[in-house]
Amino acid sequence: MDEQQLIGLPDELVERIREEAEENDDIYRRRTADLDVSRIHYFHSEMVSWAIRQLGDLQGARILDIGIGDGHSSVLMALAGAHVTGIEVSPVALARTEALARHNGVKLDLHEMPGEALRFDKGAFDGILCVSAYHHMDQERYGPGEGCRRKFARVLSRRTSLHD
Amino acid sequence: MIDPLATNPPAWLYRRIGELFSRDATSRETPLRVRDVHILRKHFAKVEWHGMYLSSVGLIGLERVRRNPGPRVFRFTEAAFKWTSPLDSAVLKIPGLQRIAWKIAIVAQR
Repeated sequence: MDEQQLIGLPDELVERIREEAEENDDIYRRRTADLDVSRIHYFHSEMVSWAIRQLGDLQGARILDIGIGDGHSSVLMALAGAHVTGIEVSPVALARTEALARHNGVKLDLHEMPGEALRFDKGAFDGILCVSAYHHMDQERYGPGEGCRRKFARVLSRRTSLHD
Repeated sequence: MIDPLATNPPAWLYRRIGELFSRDATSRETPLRVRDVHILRKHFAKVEWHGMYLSSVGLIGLERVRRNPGPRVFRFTEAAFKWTSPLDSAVLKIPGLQRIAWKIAIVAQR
């Protein structure tokens, strides 16, 4: 885990994020990597397609993909013209995403960062995509100003402000 | 966001007996509840949600009974999903059933 991203967070949350990262590393080491984005698991594919559709026209849009996992959603959005910033706590998953992006000829801005501690400017994104990641985060325990929901809202621009 | 709903009965049961299966998930999950949508409304001007999938959860359960299901299992579940997904969408239009869907899909706008 990138220790820089954990500075200032409560000890209990830091511990939780570290454990989550280690468990996710194990999960992604076990999974078979597939560099063909058309071969995503049918179920994940349907969910990701639905979620991406909610973001509207992606051409030039600044999208934050939270908990990118294998990186399929990030790569699909980048292929559709979005400027995608992806965050993930698992370095193994990030490496897989980098390989997937390279294979598909797109550039992603990737960060080893937990969703509980978004370190981006206010209004930095036009949309957020978060598929099967939010329930792994500590959503509210640390009170006003620390909850994920508030942080998600803060980094969204008021102009387009899509969140999915 | 799309995340699991805490109130889907098969998934609830699966979480509790998950160690018997090859669970491909981490240990600190907090599946969402419909009341989480109300909390989101504090931070977003417009929040809509709907339930996704009901019977389809059985297909994923089938894939996870064994640690390494063979391609035949995936071929079967993928083919079955083409039927169960639209069926679930139709069934979930029945009032009240959304709350026991497998997933909750939330679209929020500032």
